[in-house]
Amino acid sequence: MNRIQSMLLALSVAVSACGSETGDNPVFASYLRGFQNLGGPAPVNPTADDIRAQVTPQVRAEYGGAPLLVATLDQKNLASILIERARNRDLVTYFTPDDISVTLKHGVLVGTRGLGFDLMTADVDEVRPGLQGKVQQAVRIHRYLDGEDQIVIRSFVCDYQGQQQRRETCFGDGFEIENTYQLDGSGEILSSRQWISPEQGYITLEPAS
Amino acid sequence: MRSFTFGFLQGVLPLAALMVCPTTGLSDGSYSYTTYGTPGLIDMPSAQSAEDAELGLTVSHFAGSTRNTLSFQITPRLSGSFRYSKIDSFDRSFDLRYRFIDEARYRPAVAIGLRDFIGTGLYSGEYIVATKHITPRLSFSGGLGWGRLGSYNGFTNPLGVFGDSLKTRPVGITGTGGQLEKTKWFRGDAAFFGGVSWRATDALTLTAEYSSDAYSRETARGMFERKTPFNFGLSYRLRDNFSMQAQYLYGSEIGVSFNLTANPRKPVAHGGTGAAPLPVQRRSAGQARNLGWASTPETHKSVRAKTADLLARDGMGLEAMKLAADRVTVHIRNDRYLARPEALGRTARILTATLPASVETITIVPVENGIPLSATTLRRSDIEDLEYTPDASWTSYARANITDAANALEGATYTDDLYPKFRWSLGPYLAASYFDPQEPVRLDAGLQLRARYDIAPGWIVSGTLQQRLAGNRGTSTRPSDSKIQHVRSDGNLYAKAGKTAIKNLTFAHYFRPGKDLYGRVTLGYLEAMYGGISSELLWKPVGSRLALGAEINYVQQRDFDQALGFRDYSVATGHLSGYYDFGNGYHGQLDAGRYLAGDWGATVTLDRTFANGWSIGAYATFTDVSFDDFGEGSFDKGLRFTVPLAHILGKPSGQTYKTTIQPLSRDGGARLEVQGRLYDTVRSYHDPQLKRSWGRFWR
Repeated sequence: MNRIQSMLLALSVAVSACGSETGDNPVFASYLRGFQNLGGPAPVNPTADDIRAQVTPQVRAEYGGAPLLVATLDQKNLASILIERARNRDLVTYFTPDDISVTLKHGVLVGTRGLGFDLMTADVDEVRPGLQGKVQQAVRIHRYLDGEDQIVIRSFVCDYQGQQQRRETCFGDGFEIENTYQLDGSGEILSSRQWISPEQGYITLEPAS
Repeated sequence: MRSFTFGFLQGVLPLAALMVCPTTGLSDGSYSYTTYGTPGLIDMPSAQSAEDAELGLTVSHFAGSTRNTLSFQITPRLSGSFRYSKIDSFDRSFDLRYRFIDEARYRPAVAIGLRDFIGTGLYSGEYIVATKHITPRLSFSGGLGWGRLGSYNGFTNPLGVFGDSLKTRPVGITGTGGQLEKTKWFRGDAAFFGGVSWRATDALTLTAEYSSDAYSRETARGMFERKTPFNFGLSYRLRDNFSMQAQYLYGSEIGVSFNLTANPRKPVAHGGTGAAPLPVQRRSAGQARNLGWASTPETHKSVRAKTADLLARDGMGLEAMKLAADRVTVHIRNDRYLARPEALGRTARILTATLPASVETITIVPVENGIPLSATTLRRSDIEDLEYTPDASWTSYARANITDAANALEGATYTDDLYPKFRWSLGPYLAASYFDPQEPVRLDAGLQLRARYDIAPGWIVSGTLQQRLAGNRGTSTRPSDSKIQHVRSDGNLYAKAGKTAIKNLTFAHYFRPGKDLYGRVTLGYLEAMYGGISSELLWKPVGSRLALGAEINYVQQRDFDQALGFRDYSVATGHLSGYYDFGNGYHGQLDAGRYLAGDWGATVTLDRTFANGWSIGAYATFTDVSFDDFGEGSFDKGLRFTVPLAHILGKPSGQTYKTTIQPLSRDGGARLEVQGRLYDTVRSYHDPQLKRSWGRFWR
C-alpha cells in the first residue's frame, strides 16, 4: 500500500471515529461540510422579508412571547430572527436560534457574540444624546479582540443629521462609518443599520412585524 | 481531557495541514520567498523580514536539488530557518538573520545573516545586505557575501584589515557536524550580490538578481552548468497564504518552488465563532435578602443540577460545588476553552442564572485530573454591573481575586455519578518518522483505541493500544550506529515489531501536597519504549512567573514488540526544572539532570508563546556524552510546536497539536516521554497566563 493510500485510509477511518465522548470533536464534521459544499449550488439565504413572513403567532408562542427582531448582516447577506433572552438594566440581549447574540442599549448596538470579529463592548453613552439632537457631536469607543485575544480599542467621533431618520457619521482609526436609525415620535429607535467591525460590516435591525 | 479523542496526527504534517487551511489576511505580499525559503530575491537574500511571527514552509527544486525550509520570524527583526535539503546527499541546515536597521525615507533596511551556521555547512555562507524601496512596488537589494555567497567573482576579504586570519576560510566540518561553525564565519573571499524586485500586481512579483554563489559543489558533480550569474524569477500569490515561484537560474536551469505561510497571530476569526455565552441574569432589587432557601437540601441539589446542565451546554463540567447562604465554590472541568478566562467568564454568567439570590461571592476552581489548579473569586454584583461596560475586561480582572486552591475541594459535594467514570475512543492514528536518507518521510497508519478510567478524583488508569494497518516506518534497514546505550535510536525496530502495540498503560495519581505544590506519580508502561515509575513535584505559586519542578523516574526499556515484556536495560533518570515566563510572549525552561542513557547534562528551551495557545520554540541538550560518542549532529537539538485547533476551526477547542522536530534523533540527551506532566496544565490557570488572555473573560 503506498503512502497516499495509507493517508486516504487514515482519513476514511477518521470520519468514522467513535467513542464514549465524541461530541466535542468538530474537526471532521467541519472538513466534511467544507468538502460537501465544493461544487454544489450555493445555499440560498433567507431574506429579512422571508424571515418576517415566517413569524406567525404560532412562532411567537414558541418563543414564549419574547420580543423579536429581524437582523440582517449586510456584508454576508444573512438574515435571522432575534429572540430577546435577557435584560440587564438597560441592556437587552437577543439570540439567534444558532446562538449568536446581539446586545443593545436603548437600541444602540453595544456588543455581538458568536459572529467572529465581534464587537466586544461599545461606549455609546454620548450617542443617545446625539440621536436625540441634544448634542452635535459624540464620541464612541469600540473594543475588539485581536488575533492574540488582546483587547484593541477603536474610537470614533460622530456627527448627527436628519430628523425621524437620523444619520450618524463617524470617523476614526482609518474608518468612516455611517449608521442610520429610524426614530419614533418619542425618540426611541424603531429600526437601525449599525456598524459592527471592519470584518463584519453592518447589521440591520428591524421589528419582526 | 485534551486531545483524548483526537490524538492521531503527529509530526510536521499537521503544520502543513494547518497551512493549507483558510486563514485571514496574511502577509501583504510585499516580499517573496527565495529558493532557500527565506524572504529575499531568488537565490540571494534581501534585508526584508517576514511579518512578525510568520511561519513559512517552502519547497524548492532545481537542477536535482530540493530544499525544504521552515522559517519563523522569531521577533520582528530576528528570523530563523530549518532546512532539509537533498543535494547529492541529504543535509540539514539552520539559518539566522537579524535586521538591525529599519528602512526609512533615505535609508535602506540592513540585515546580517548566517546561512547553514551549524551542521555540515554545505550551504554555509554569511552576508550583510541592504534593501531600499524606490516606490512601494520597486525595491533594490545589494550585499556582500562570504562562504558560498562569496564564491563567485570574489575578492580578498575586506575584513582582512582586522587580521590576516580572516582572509582564509577553514575547510571541512568540525567533528561530527551540528556544531557552531563560528571559526569560518565571515572568513575567506567576499563577493557582491544584488538584485531588483518589482511587485507588478498585488499577486505577481518579478525578480532579477546577480548571484555570488558559484555552485562549485553542484557543478563539480555535474548536476548543472552554471553559465551566467544572472537569475530571473516570478512569484505568484494564488491565495493569501499560498504562492508559487518559477525561476530561470544561471542561464541553464528552470526551478520551481511553492510556499505556504501561517501566522499564529492571525486565526481564522478573531475571538472565534463559538456560541454566544449565556447573558448575565441580574437579581431584582431586594431579592438578595431572602435567605429562606438555605436549609433545604433539595435546593442545593437543584442548583447543582441546573449549573451542571448549563456548564455541559458550554462544553464544561461541574466537578463539585460547595454552597453556603452568601457564597459558593464551584469546581469545573474545562475541555473546551483554551483561553481559560473564557471558561471562568462563562461559568460566572451561568452562576448568575442558577444561584439563589443571596449568594454574592463566587469562587471558581478549575480542576484537571482531579486536582484544583487555582481559585478565582468574583463578586456576583460585579458580574451583573460590568456586563457590556466599556472596560469590562480589565475591570473584572482587577476585581477578581486569584489564589491558590490547594484545599478548595474540602467539604465540596461532588456531582453524582462522576466517579468512577470510564471513557474510551477508537480512531485512526498516523505516526511519522523523518530524515531517513533512504526515505525522508516514513508513515504508519492504523487504528488506535484509547481508554481512561477515573477511579476517584486524581486516581486514573489509562491506556492506548495501536494496531498498524499500513505503513513503512518499520522497513528502514538502517541499523543504529550509536556508540552508547541505544535508548532512542532503535525506533525503527520498535516500529517494525510493534504491529499491535501498547503505547501506554498506566496507573496515575495526581495530588496537591500543599499550597503552591502539585504532585504526580505514574506507574506502568509509560511510553512506547519505557515502563516503570515516574514521579513529579511542581512548585508554582498562582501569580509567579517562575516555577520549579523535580521529576524522578526509574524505568526499564520495553521489548520492541511493545507488549508486556522488558529488555535488560534499566535506568534511574530525572531532572530538576526551572520555568520562567519572561513576558512579551517569551518563555524559558532549563532542565538539568540524568538522561535515559545515564548521561548527565542540561536542556535549554526557549519558546515564543502566544496568548491564543500557539507556541513555537527550540531546545538544545548538552550532556557528558562526547560529541564523538553522540555521533552525527554532536548533540540533541530540535524545534517544538504547539498549535491550537481553534486557530483553524474558529470555534473554541481545548485540543492542541504538539510536535517536536528533531533533525537527528539519537541516544545522548534523550528524555522519558511520560504523559500528564504538570507544568503546562497548571500554568494555564495561573497568572501571568490568565491575565494575558483575560480579554476573553467576556467572550
